[in-house]
Amino acid sequence: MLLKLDFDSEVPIYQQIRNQIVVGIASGQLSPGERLPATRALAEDLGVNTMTVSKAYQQLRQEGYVITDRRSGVMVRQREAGVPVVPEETVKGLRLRLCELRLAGLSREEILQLCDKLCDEEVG
Amino acid sequence: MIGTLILWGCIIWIVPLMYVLLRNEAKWKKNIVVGATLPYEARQDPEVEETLRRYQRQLGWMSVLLLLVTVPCMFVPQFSVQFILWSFWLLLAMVLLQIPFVRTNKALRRIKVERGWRRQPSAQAVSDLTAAAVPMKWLSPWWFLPPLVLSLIPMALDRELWVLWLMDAALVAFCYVGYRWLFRLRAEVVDANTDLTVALTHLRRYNWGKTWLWIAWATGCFNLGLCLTLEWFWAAMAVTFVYGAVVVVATIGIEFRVRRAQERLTADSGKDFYVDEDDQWIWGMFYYNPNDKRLVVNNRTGINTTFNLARRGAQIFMGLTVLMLLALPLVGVWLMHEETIPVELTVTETAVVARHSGTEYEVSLSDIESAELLTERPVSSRVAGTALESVSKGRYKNDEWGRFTCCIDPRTGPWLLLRTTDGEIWLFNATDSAATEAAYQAITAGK
Repeated sequence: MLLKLDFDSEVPIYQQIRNQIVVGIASGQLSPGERLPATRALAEDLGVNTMTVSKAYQQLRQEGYVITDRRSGVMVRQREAGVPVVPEETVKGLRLRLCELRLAGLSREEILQLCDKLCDEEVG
Repeated sequence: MIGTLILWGCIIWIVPLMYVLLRNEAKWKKNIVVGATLPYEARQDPEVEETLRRYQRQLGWMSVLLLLVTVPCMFVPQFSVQFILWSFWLLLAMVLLQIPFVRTNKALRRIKVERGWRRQPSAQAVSDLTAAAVPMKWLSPWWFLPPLVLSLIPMALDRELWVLWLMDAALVAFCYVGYRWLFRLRAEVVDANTDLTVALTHLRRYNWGKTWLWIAWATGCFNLGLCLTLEWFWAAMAVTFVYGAVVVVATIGIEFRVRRAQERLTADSGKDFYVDEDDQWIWGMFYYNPNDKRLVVNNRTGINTTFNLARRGAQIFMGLTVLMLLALPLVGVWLMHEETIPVELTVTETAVVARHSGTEYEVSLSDIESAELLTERPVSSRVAGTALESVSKGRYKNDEWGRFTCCIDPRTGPWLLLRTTDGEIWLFNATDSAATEAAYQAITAGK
């Protein structure tokens, strides 16, 4: 999976890393159990500070997308069977985005259509 | 004449080498040609093809011109003037040969904009997560230990020149430092093909280690070889030549092997998404990226590395390098000064003093065992020191006396041979023959 950072963007670098990894996992480009680069290796690869990558990984770990193993490093977390647990932050974020879409003038049907389209694109 | 030929041999090959390296830039590697990133379709574009042909022609003419200029330099009699001329020639070659590259790079970038081939924002960094996760397998430091030991052996065999041997040993040690810390662990992302990225990354990493290991072993062997042949001038010269040849052939050979592999592996790349970092490369040759925290970055093609000029350390280093290169002709001026200063020989109440420029040798009169005035200059060769047409000073050697200290003007006799009670031998004279004879008289009168 290719990770592209835009240094002109207002989104912080660590957030860009975190977001793209989440998209990568959701779209299947990063499969469960797949090893991610070590913090230092990814920082070296992107030319960013080690702390930036560390912060992105830490957030991904807290949100349950990745796990850290002492021997294997950072890995994409296996999805557990059963009722999916959506992080509280994600629900909050989604609620905010829905409000923004409503304020932009979209109806409920249009919002659902948009979500459907995005789901097809990102998740398959 | 030997000095002229050695100087010529040390410098002349730089132009053909630069020509071959720069001409190779006209071959497509990782979607890059003459420092410009272009899509696959550009390879069949008539304007791009013509631009590249023109670049090769310009490069060829420039190289021939530079080589022709060297012919009159060979016949300049004074070594110091020759050195100044060669220094200017070297600087000229380094600048002139880059001009076709810069002009072509600009032309290709213009074509790129005109054709709408510019695709991604300038401030972007791309990483292939799968390729970046492949760990670097560093060579064990044990591989560098035998050449280090080899390079330290002369310290035990020839203690007099310990500084020289230690410097060579430090060079071997630096090979490991350079291998570990002058390399950036970055995956070679060219397009979205992860297998290609992994292959290119492995290619560069493997050959990077191989290059440093070659240099370390060659330097270790050279140090020992030089120590063992130091008594025979031509043998020592042959060892030095072989060392230089091995290092140049090995490093350039590896560089070209990597370039050929990069060319082959990326022959079909650039059709869809491709990485374009042109905005971070000034004229396609100097890396300047304020968003990149790294000081050392990998060159885009081949295996070499370069500096990120957006970092203060790199600016200082580059500035110092440029200053040192510009100061090269000053060495010639210093040589000219050395050549014109006469060698002096005086006898004080307590010692014989030989002087030239900033060098002074003093032998106490009470230590002198014997003094002899030679009318013929003894045949000898330099171990360490200066050997110009008008002055020989430092440590010299010959078959009859072994090693001795010397401060003479080789052009004018006689020469004063002194032996001291500690077994040391000294060969002095003055540019003014009368001064040498007067010194001899003073020493013998005192005895």
